Amino acid sequence: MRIELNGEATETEATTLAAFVVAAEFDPEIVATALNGEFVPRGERVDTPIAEGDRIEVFSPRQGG
Amino acid sequence: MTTEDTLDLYGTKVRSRFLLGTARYPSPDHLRRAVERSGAEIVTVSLRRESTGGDKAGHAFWQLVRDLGVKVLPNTAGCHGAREAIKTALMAREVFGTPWIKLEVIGDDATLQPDPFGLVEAARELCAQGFEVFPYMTDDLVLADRLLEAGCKVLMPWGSPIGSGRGLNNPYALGLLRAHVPGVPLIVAPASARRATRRRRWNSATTASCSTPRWRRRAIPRRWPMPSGGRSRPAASASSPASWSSTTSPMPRRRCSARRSRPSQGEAGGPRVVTSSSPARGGARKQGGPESARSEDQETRPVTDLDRFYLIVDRTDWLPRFLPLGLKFVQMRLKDRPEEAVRAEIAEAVALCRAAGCTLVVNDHWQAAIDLGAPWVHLGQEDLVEADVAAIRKYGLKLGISTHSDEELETALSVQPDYVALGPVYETTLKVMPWKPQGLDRVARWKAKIDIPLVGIGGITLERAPGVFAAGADSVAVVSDVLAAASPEARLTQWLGARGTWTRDQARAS
Repeated sequence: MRIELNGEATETEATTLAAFVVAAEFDPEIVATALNGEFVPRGERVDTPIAEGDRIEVFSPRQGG
Repeated sequence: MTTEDTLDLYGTKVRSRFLLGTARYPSPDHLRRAVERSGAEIVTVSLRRESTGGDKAGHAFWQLVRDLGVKVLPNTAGCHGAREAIKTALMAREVFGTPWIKLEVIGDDATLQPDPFGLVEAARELCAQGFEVFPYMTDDLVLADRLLEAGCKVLMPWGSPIGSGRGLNNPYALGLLRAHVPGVPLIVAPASARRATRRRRWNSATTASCSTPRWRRRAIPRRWPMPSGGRSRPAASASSPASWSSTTSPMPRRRCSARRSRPSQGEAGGPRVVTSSSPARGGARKQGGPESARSEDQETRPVTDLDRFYLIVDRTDWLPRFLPLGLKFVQMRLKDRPEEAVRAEIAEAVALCRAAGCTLVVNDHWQAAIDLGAPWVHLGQEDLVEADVAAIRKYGLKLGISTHSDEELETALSVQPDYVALGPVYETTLKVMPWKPQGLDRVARWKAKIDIPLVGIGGITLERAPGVFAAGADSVAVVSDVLAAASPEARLTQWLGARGTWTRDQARAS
C-alpha cells in the first residue's frame, strides 16, 4: 500500500497508524503523529486505520529558537 | 504574580528574564554550558519531521534538555496558517509534555512576520484547549488586545524580524505596548542586537527577552550577560529586565530575515518543507537582488589552494609589480579606507589576479569579496563576529582565520575554516598586539591540533621561513620582509625561489 510519510511516497504493509509507527522504526513513545493533517494522540494510533494515499506525519524533538 | 524578583508565566514563576534558543550550537556540550552560564530557566525547542525511523540525534537532544532540568517552550516554527499551527501545537504538547506553546504563524516569508489574523485564530483555539500560549506577534497594540481576549496571558512581541540582526528595531512601539498592557509579561523575541541597541532597556518587571546567541562563531561567550551583580544562577534575577539579551556576538544587520533555513526540510511547518530541498533554498534571501544575481557565479569563481608563500599587501598597486614575478597567493589587507575605495581596489585586484593566475584573499571585507568575485576571505577574530560565514560559504569562498590563543583556535575551528593562521610567530612591529611571540614550538603544537593547513605569520623573514615551515606551518605569510625591502621585487624573487626548498622537520613531525 502506498502512503505519504512527511511528504514522501512510501510503501507499507501496516493497517493502523500504531503499526506503521513501529514498522517504520520510530520510537512510539517519543514521536507525535498526524494523519491527513489532523493530530492523532498516542493512545488513539492503535484504533486509527490507514489507507492507500493517506498522508502521515511523524514529528520528534529538535533544537529550536 | 509578577514581582521585581520573579516573572509569572501562567503561574510558573521564573527568576531569570532570559529565554534561550537551542538551535545552532556547535555541540550539545556548548548548549549545556550556555544554559548553565546564562542561568536561563526556559529554553525554546522545536519539532522536526522524521523521514526515517531512529532519529538518534533528536532523542539525544531531548534527553540532554531533560537532564538540564530547565523548562521547555516548544514553538510552532515554520507554520503557515492557524490550522497547521494548531496541529503542530497539539503534537508538541504530546512530545514535550507541556501546555506551553510559543505560537508562530508566519504571514510573510521574506521577513517571517507573524500573520496577526491567523495568530489570533490559533491562539483562541489553543487557549480553549488548555494550552498556555506565548504568541509571537508584531508590536501592534490592537493585536495585543485581541490576543489577551483570546486567553493569552503572556505576549511575545518581536524586537525586529527574525534573523535581521536589528535587535530592538522600534523601541518606541515596544514602549507603547509596554504601557498599553501593564502587568502582562512581555517577552521580546528575537532580541539579539548590537552595542547601540543593547543600551535600550525597560525598567519593567514584566519584560524579558528571548534570543539564540550566535556562538556558532564564538564557542562560548566570554562576557555572558549577567544581571548586575549576578554571578551564579540564584543571583541571576530580575534586576535588569530585557537588558541582557545581547552581550554575545551580534549578528550583522540585514534588510530583512536571514533565516534561509526556515522553513526547511525537517522543520515542522508546512507542506513546503517536505516536497524537496528546493523550497529551503527559495527562501527569503533569494528575493534580495544582488545575492541571487551572484548565485550562479559560484561555479566560475576560481578557487585554488594555499601556496607555501603568502604575501600580504596593503594596496592594489603592488600587484602589477609583483604578479609578473610569479606570485601565486596574495592577500589584500585594506585598512582605514572608505568602503567605495575598498571596493574599487578589490575589483581591480580580482581582475589582475585572475589574469595572472594568482589566488586573491580579501582581508575583512567579506561582503565585497562575495560581490566582486574574490575566491578567498581572511577574517580576524573580531571580523569573524560580524561576518556572515554562511553567506561566505554559500557563494563558494574559502575562508582563513587568524588565531592567537587556544580559545581563538576553538572559535576559529567552529566555523570549519580552510586554514588557520597563527601569529605572531616572531615579534612584529607592524601591528600593535597584546600577544607575545608564539615561537616555533607553538607552531608545532598548533599543527598537531588541527587537520587543516596552518599559516605562520608575524615577523617572519626569508631567513626564518625554513624554520617556520619545518615546525609545521604549511604556508608562511609575509608583509614587511618584502614590502619594506630596499627592492621589494628582488626580495620577492628570492622568496619565490626559496619556497620550494623548505622541508619539514622530521624530528618535530614525529
